[in-house]
Amino acid sequence: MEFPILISGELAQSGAILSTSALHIEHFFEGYARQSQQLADYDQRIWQLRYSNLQPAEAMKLRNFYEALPIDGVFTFTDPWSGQTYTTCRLAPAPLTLSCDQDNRFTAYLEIENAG
Amino acid sequence: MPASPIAFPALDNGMLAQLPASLTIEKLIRGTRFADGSILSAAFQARLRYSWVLRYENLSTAEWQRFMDFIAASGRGLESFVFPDPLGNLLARSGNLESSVWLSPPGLTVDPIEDAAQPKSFILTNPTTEPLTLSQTVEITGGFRTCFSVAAKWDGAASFSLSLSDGVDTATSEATAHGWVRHSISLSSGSAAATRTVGITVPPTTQIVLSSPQLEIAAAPGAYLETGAVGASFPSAWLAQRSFDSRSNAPGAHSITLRIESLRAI
Repeated sequence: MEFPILISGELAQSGAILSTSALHIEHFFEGYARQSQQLADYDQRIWQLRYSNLQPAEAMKLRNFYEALPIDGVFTFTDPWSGQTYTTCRLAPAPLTLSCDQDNRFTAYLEIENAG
Repeated sequence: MPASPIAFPALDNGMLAQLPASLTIEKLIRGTRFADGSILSAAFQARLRYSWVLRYENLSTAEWQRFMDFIAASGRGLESFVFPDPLGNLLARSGNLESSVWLSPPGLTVDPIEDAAQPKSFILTNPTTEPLTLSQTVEITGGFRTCFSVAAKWDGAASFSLSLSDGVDTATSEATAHGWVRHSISLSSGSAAATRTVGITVPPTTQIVLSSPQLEIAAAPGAYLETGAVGASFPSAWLAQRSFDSRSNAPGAHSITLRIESLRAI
């Protein structure tokens, strides 16, 4: 499935957050020595996507994507910061939240992650 | 279960919700995440949890009383009720008019057709000498105002009609398709209504191209939402809160907040 594109042609709006982490395996020895090994191929990224002033059609695209994506479904997402394309992204455990205001404009929150 | 189905209360204008309204959709999946980030999920236990927060302001005394009666009838979360999502498309298989949820009479053919401007379009052909109607019935309990809309086109202009019925009253609207235009019809129903049936009638020896049908609780069509095997009418929803704070800001101006939940298989 294709990640929904906004009317502007962008994937995300300002206010999005990118979290990256490295996976270390640590061993502690007697005498407080420590050995840390980092998994070189591990590239965990979580994008927290916040949208505001969405038109209803844009919000419904996000909803449709969230509902229709299978449990093990992966999709391609282009990192808005680096422009790098990640081909095995999935929905993070966080829910999709949609709010419709009195002017029929939506705010939305969604988290996605790459498969590491 | 109560003897008669519990109907979610309608506002005086036939709407279900006031804006702002919010909906949270969460995938409930039992799974194990491994150190490399991969996940093993138990697919058979997966569910979508829908949570709505609906804030009502300046309710008239009659409206407020309907909400109080509804809260009492639902046992404050004990009983379930049919809940039409105020932000969703109530029709099932809106992107597949060939699906069996759409009742197609003998003689009427429904075929997919490629259209660059409108994905998931279908051409309806009626070669007979009688008008034929493609229809779908949805469970919607309560006296809401509903709006049925569909995008239609035909290069040489073709007439067709839309219908919307609650089993008691029926609204119909004649339309003529040229380029892609969304046509709509709305119906205000009484509180006893339990279903809504939408119909697209094709006149004899006529063809028409259709796409994106939608039924919603509204006076006019909103943004289209494609649906899968089920529409946005939830047959089993419940009040997620156990306490209800009702405030009266002035005589005849009441407010209340409802939290509603439902589950659906993925």
